[in-house]
Amino acid sequence: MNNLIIDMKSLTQAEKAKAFLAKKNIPSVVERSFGSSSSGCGFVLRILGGAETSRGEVCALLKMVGVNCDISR
Amino acid sequence: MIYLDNAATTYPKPLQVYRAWQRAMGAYGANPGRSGHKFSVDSAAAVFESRAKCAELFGAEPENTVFTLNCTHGLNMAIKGVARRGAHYVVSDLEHNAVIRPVHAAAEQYGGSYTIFETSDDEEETLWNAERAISPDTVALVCTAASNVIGLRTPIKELASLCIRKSGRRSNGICFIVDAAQGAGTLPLKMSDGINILCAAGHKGLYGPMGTGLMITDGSFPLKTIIEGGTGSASESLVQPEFMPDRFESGTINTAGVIALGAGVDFIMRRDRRQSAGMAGILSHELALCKRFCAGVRGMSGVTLYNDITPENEERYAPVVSFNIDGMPSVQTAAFLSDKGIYMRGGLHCAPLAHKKIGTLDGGTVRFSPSVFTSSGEVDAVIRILAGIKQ
Repeated sequence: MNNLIIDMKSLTQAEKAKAFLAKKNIPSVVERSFGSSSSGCGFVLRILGGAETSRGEVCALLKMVGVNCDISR
Repeated sequence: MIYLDNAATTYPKPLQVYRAWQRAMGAYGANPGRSGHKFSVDSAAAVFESRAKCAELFGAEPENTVFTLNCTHGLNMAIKGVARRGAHYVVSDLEHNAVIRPVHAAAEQYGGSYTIFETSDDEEETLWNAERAISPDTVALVCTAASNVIGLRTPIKELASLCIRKSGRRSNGICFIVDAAQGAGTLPLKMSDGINILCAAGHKGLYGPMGTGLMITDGSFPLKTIIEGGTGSASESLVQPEFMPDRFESGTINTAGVIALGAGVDFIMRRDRRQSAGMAGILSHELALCKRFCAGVRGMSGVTLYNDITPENEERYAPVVSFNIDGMPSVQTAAFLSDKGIYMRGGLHCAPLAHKKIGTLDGGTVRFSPSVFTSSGEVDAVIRILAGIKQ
């Protein structure tokens, strides 16, 4: 099962995204990321649930609450 | 004990706040936002939950809701954050030292200045005075939501509109900063009122522990930082992050404190319907006690009331009453009451401007400030004891 991993701008954004997706019945966990393309210590949101949930769908949902999947640090 | 110093800090706290704090000390004992292990992640989730509750209370976004050590901490970050060379600040004549001292320091540091405008029972007069104080160099108007000495409320929405109107086409607008130390948890303050930055104590009307506070922004004014350090994010950079709230939360936060603060916000937002009547109910209860107290001492010879709250004027006040016993310095009155088990604060309440306004800069006043847990029986007992002082 592949989990989607989405880079998050900050821990607060990650928690906000997690809480929002949970209401949409999309489970996720917040994890530390190291050496990500966006440089330095950061956080990612790991979407649980595998292939049923596409990155595009998740990102479209997160955009509704001001969380941008394409982050710059 | 009859505790009537809730304007300094509320006591007692709701039971759920004590429980939340105790639970947090055990269940959320890892540093949130630092490590990647489950214990740290769980702590971070609990902190976020509290942050989201605080944000919801004021109609803000969680990212723009910064946890601070207290209201003073937030006000310093806000006031000094907007400072620039030649900055001019506008403040009211009710301001606490938490406002006037950092304004004074910022004006000195940046070769700027500040103007103090007079507030009035007449709202139009207050607004007129505020408008006259604004100049082309004004970077911020900083105003308390209500005086911690005489409870007088300021016209927040109208002052916000004034800042927007006077900003006009200026590239640097006028930042409207509200000191909500005496209003948060009772007055219906929302960021949508036009507030750019709201600072609040976590330990007064929000019923959280001491060592907590909030600085909430609407994101429209970039702020310089006054504290830089580890944020657990973008760690490879030697520069403080730009993104919120990390930018203003350097170092380890008061984790158990902010989690307990979330429980306090739950209490006042009436999530537990058995225990609280919600913010409007809390304000109504506290104002009723202030009216009862004023009615009880109004006729007493030798007692001076500096803000007599009545059913006709209660909308103009937060629930705080200042008084003095003639011929008795306020700290002496407070000491006498303390010996009787009644705890009020005497003195200047860190608000010399307000005391200058009401003519009590020499001796200060005794301050009556109830909470949701104060009873009418306690107020009646205080009135009886005050009557006894004069005898």
